[in-house]
Amino acid sequence: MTQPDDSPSFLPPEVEAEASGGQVSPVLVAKVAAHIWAARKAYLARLPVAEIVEILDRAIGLWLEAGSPWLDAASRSIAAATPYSEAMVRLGITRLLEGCRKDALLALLEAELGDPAVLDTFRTRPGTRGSHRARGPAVTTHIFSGNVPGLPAISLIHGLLVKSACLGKPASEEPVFPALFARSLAAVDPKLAASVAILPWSGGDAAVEAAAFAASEAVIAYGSDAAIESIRARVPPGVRFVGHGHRLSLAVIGRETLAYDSVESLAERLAYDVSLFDQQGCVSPHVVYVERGGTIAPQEFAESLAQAMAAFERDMPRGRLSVEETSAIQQARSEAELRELREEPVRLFASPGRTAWTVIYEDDPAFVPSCLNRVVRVKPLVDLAELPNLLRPVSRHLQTVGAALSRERRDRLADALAPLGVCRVCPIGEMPHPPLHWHHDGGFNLLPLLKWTAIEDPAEG
Amino acid sequence: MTERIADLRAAVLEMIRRGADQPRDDAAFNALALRLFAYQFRANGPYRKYCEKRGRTPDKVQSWLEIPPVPIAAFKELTLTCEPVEHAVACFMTSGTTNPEKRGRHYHFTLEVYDASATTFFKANVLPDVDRLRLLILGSPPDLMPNSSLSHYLWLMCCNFGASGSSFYIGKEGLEADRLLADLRAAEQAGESVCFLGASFAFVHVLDLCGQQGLRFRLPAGSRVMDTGGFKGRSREVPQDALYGLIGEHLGVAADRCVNMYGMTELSMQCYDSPLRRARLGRQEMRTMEAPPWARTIILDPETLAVAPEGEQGIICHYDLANCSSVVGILTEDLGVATREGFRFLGRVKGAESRGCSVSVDEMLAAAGKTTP
Repeated sequence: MTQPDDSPSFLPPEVEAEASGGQVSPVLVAKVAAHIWAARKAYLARLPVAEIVEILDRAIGLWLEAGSPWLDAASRSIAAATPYSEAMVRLGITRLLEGCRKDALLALLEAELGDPAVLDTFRTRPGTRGSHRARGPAVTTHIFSGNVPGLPAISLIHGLLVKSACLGKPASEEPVFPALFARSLAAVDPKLAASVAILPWSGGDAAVEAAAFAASEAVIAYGSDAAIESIRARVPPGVRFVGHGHRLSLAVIGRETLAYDSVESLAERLAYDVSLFDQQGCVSPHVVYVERGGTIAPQEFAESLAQAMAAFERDMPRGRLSVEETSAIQQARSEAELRELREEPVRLFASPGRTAWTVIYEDDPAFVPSCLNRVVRVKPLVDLAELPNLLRPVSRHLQTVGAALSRERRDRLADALAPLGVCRVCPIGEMPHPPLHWHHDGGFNLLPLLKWTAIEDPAEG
Repeated sequence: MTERIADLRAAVLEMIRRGADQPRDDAAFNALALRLFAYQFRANGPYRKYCEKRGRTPDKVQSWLEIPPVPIAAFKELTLTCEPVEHAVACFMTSGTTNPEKRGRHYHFTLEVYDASATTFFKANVLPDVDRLRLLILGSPPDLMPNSSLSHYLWLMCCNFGASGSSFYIGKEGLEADRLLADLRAAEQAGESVCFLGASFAFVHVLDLCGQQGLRFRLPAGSRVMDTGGFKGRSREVPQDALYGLIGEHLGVAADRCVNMYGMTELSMQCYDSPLRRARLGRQEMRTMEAPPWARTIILDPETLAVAPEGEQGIICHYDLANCSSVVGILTEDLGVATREGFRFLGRVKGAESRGCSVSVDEMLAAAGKTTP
């Protein structure tokens, strides 16, 4: 039976010998793609989507059962390969996969397709003439990022739900998870897993990627804006492309939610949102806007947040950083400290002795992206109405807003921020965990992969 | 015990006058550093608060290593002087490449110490074998760049060590290439050795010009080159070795006659990587920066800001006793590694990058820079 192991590749047995040489060639990629294409045709393409959901749910179950060797292996290997601590990896993957069980998979299918059976056969649709069927790409290339361990599962799930063979390239910083996830699929259903291949090549290798894209009908990529642009430019015409580039998130706290009996819990939830995966997620908040006029002043809230950041750090220490990353934190801190010395309205709260966490309170409300790795700014707002103007300069990148607001004010804020590109407003404490059916970056997840065929009935006279 | 700045300056000058080759006297360095720290702590309000926050006050600090170094950003945010700024005789300013509205300011209330520090160590590193040489200066004179410490430095060297015919070649209209190339040709033909010195990026322009025009000078024996500073946005980036390769090819000056200077607006001393000095002292030939005896350079672990373990990369931090009226300790934004003789400069600390789909402030600034011409 398939067991967890550390190898970053998961390949059809026919090409394993050839791939063991190390260097990935365009020819190898073409062969891998041909194998998973054939495996899909023979099996995955014929599976009813309801069965795919069952298989995925069973595989994810393997990760979530008590003492799961899959979760153990992933946490251990990812903690060794990335800056993240084992505890944080374990927590992150668990939360992510808990959101991918059967009910969530069905909710995603229903949200995007209405009737998921359009993936299996021609189906009539109320209000339309005739019947429709949706077909996913025969092969999809997935370019994963390494910032959020576990995230490649989502992309693979999207591909498999639409019955696409999946060729995945793991990120060099986190090469472990994708192959492990593929092996857990094989443990449940080897025939389905035969439509999946994970092959680490060096990102941006134009010849290898050209071979992968040529064999695919769709490409899904995660990464920096520059990486996404580079890939988009190389995807051939006619191949569908879904790119997830740089995004910025923030939190907003309304005066009505600031009370002495609840501030500690609010600060704890926000510290979780900031600290999980060391702020490297597109859903991680950079700035917290706190409205003035509540029982608790914005600066007091910054202090509570600092305490909560310290507590989270004790449980889930921040990862190891590069000299550049650490220096960026030191520079952000000294800038704040110097402004404090100049008696500007700035307060610096920082972990003593080390750069583990930093909270900078400042009166200046301008949105400033963080240097990341648990550095967050708290800024006061006289009124929520100021927010759209403050966010306009970064609107191209806006994504999630974590909000602690009355329902009515939250809805009004969402209305005001939607034109600026904000595509998700969620409770504080849930920022890192969007539901599977969320319109990621404001778009559909499955629909961009599909091609539809309609059979029109004759017009009834 | 309150010391007068005049006495402190006299003590620093005395140390400088003992020269570049004086034995390293750590006890004397420490004693003078602590005296300067006590003075600066008392005379400089923002710096005092900075130290008090760290619990580093003159009554507690026993070693120069405990004197809090100030990040260079402080020269932009605060007025870091021990005397009223209206008494300043010079204010050197940083170029403000990242933000022209925020330029660091370093005030000097006399240039006696700065000048003694700069000339003494320049002589030891660039002209250890001659008293005067014709200086061909790839820089602007101070009347064009009154706030540039580099212009002042180059002017100082021109006055103190320049033989007749020494000249600046960057004027109001930029590089005076025709005059420079003619003077290089004349020096070559007359067999007159020269010292060709200035900003690294300006050398790149001149060498590119030589390349385009197919010019190859063979500067006479005894000639030498000294370059300084980075390339940021001023020319294409050229690694130091490649620069020396081009200098050898187009000017006929070998790498073992090329000196690299490391200086900063915020300092009153310069460090040198000088094969000429190493050859004279019979030291092993290995590229390394050396600070003068009145300064110390250490490498700090960026995480803890404690001295980094030997051989590990970290942030370069200088203690410069010639900084009498500002601050002795300067925390740079430069990356370096300690060597036996000094340190190696590895470049400016590049901005932090995100590892995935989040975006860091440095990436935002870089992107903004790309869209604005």
